[in-house]
Amino acid sequence: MSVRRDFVRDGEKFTVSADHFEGATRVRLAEVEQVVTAECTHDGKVVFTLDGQRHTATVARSKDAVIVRIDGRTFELPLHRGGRGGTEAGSGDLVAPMTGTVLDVRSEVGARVQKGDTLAIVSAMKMEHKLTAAFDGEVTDVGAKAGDQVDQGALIVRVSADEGADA
Amino acid sequence: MSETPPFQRVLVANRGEIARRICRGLRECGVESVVVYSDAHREARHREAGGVAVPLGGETAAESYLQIDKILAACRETGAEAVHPGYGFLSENADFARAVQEAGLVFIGPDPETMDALGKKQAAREIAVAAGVPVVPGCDEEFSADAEWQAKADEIGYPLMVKASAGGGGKGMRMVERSEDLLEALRAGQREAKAAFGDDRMILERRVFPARHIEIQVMGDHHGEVVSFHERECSVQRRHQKVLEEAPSPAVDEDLRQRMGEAAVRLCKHVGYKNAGTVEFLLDPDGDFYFLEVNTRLQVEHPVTECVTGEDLVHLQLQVAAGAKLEDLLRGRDLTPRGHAIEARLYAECPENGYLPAAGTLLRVLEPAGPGIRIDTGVRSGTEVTVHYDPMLAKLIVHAPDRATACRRMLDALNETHYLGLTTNIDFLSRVVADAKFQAGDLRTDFLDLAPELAEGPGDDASDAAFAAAALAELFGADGVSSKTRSEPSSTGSDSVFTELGAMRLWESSASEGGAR
Repeated sequence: MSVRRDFVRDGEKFTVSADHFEGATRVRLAEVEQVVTAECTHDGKVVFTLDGQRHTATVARSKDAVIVRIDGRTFELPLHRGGRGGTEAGSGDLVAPMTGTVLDVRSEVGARVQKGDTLAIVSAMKMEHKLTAAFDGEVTDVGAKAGDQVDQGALIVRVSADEGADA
Repeated sequence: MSETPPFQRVLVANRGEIARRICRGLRECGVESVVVYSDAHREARHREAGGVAVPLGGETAAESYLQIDKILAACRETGAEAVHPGYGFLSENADFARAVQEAGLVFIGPDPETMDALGKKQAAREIAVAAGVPVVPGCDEEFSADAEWQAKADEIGYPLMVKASAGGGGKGMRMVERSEDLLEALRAGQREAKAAFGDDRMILERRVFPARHIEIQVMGDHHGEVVSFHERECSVQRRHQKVLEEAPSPAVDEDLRQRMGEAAVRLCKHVGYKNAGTVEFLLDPDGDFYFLEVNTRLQVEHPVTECVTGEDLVHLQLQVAAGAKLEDLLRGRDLTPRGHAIEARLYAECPENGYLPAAGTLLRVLEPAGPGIRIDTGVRSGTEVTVHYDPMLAKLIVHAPDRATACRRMLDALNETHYLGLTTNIDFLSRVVADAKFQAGDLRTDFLDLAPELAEGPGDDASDAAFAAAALAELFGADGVSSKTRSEPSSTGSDSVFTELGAMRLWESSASEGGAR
């Protein structure tokens, strides 16, 4: 059997695969393949040797990343999503950075906004987070109003960039 | 420990790890426990900790754990005779303690009058002075003449702080390092205080700096006895939030331990203190200590004291609340600290990003176990951490023969602590414990401010090994994705890629339900 996953590493797509066939476990990182010694403990830890070094890891998958705790350190490996949504810079979607309460929405559909304008304020864990426009454009969607409870990642304001703007 | 249970049934007015820890103590003393929970905690671990669980309704703490009437109603409903408030919530609320007593129940803590007196800064300071306990040298008299201010300040000594009486938020506050700078700082402080509070009265106070935060655990019974359980050091703090605590303090020798313990006991006897309490002090580099405040509750960091004294503070709280004498409870016991204990507070927060609190679901929890390792936890895999409550997930406590071993044991235990799914401070705690100054016991309250790199972290990217681990875990089915959402692996290698790709498509479409991001 085999698995394959596309991640984002250094801003680029990075494909990782692993397979287990006829008693041998192989890992392929980008285009480099190697045979590894690997096992899974009863409590779900992965113990393996890569490049002569022994590692212990636990892994969990969230919505848009794989979380790896390895050798006492934790990393979030962002999944590559075929060009849609996700992590590219300058997204026009202003989303709640954490689960919290919307304190203020300072824009409405059709409003003209300039890069840097504060369009909404979300309060979470007693801290206020300003959501600012990443570029000049027009507000095309407002997903929440002041007083709303929002989940992390919920759309608050969507801005569509002007034609030819530096988005 | 006496054979007769101190109570028949006790209600625990708290949540999370402390509710579970108190329920454990109750069981061990043969007492039935009642827990309470808000709507947010229907699935929480503490709900299952008691013999009976009473829903309080409400999502937030204000709607549930802080509702005195609801807690008292739960006591009536279940026939609880006493209430253990834990820490936080209503634990230091004198009105709550009074309401519990007026309902004919026992409040497991000090008398409400004691809580009132010690809860106010100025009143607590006056009690300390009256009990002959050193306070930070200062003066809250008003002078009209510059010469009088100058004389008083010179008497207190430098550096000193000029503070607004009406105080708060650092407004009107100035540090003065030299005698000749006093009057200018005083005027600036007065102007600022006038503008901010409409009150330009000022206080002078010696700046105890650098300082260590040392606190003494005490226990008082209902017969006038108060006993010191010695010190804890809690100097490693961020924004006045303790991060790592230990006992004994590397800065406290037997002589100082005696003197600080005696001062704390003197203060508590002066007010007829009952049950568990903590007297906090600042310790300066010359070994002089100054009273800060009394916390009239069981502290978060009480386990390190339990480790080194061998006593169970919750058991003692129950026994003294039921009227037992400390003299009987502690007969033949030696409270001399043995070995060294360290506690690390595990928080759902991101030290690398200004300690921003995190919310979400814990996808996978694996906790360490072994000799000298204790974990007091309120969570498990699947626990949802919301913004409505304190972000502390658990406390990791280690006990070892000496401090160096305790540090190594803590590092090892942190490595074996896996809380995946939301951001935690675990990596940060490892960096602090591995720090040379920490290991040398060279601690002060601004320890973390002086080493911002500990919070920031190395900022390096994931290694090849991390990516390999991600793939291997998926291959082994050890990535926490349930078999329902995963495609069944095929028995032959040839077509498995296709089933896997099919599963990926399925999974991606379900992920997109979360909306555009």
